[in-house]
Amino acid sequence: MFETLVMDGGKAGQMEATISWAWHTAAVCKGWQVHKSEKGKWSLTARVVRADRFKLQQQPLRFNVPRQGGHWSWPVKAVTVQDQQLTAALGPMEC
Amino acid sequence: MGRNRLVYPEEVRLPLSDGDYIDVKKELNAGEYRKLLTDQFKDTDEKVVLDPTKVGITKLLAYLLGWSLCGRNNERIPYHLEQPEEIRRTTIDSLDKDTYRELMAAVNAHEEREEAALEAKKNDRRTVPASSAI
Repeated sequence: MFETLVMDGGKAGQMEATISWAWHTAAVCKGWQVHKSEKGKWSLTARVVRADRFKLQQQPLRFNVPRQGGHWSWPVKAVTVQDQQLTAALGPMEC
Repeated sequence: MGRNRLVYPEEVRLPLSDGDYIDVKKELNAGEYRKLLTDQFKDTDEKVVLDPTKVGITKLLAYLLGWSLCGRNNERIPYHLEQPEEIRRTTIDSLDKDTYRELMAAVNAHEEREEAALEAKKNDRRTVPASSAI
C-alpha cells in the first residue's frame, strides 16, 4: 500500500505500546516509532518504560499499538534492549 | 533429560450453555498461582485471614481471558486483559447469578482436569522403567 511508512506514538511520544507474549506483557514502550522501508521491512525503535527480560526472550512476541476499537499489531521477529532503548525487527502489520 | 518446568501460555475454550463460551488459561504459572492465593486473603489489624467474598471471583480473574457473553440487544460484554482488574471484577460482579455459577463450575472443572492430567504425567514419569544396561 505504501512505499515507506513511519508511525509513532504521537507528540512527545507519550502513547504507550506493548510487546506481549500471549497475554503476558513483556515490555511497555513509549516514544516508539515503527518504520516500513522501501524494501517492505518493518522495524521498531522505542524507549522501554518497563520490561520483563525473561518474557522478551520468548516466542511468539507481538508489538501492539492501541487504537480506537482494538490494536494495530505486528509479529516481533527479533528484539534487543540496551540502556532502555529497544529495537526490533517486525513482520508485516496485522490489523 | 530434564522435564519442562515452564508454563507456556496456552488458551483453552470452554463451552457454556446457549452456545456461549469462555476462553481461559490452560494452566497458571507460579506468579499467577501465587497471586491467586494471596488475593483471596485480607489484612485485618491482627492477622491475615481468608476473605470468603474473594474466593470465587479471584479464581475467575486468574483464569479468564475472554468470553462470548452478551447483554441487552445482543451486544458483546467487553472483557479482556487490557482492562484494569477492577473493571474486569465489576463486570463479573454484574453478571446474573446463574452465569456466575456456570463460569465457576466451568473453571473449577477445567482446573481439576488439568491437575489430573499433571498428576497422570507425574505417575508416568515415576513408572518409566530404567533402561537396561548395555
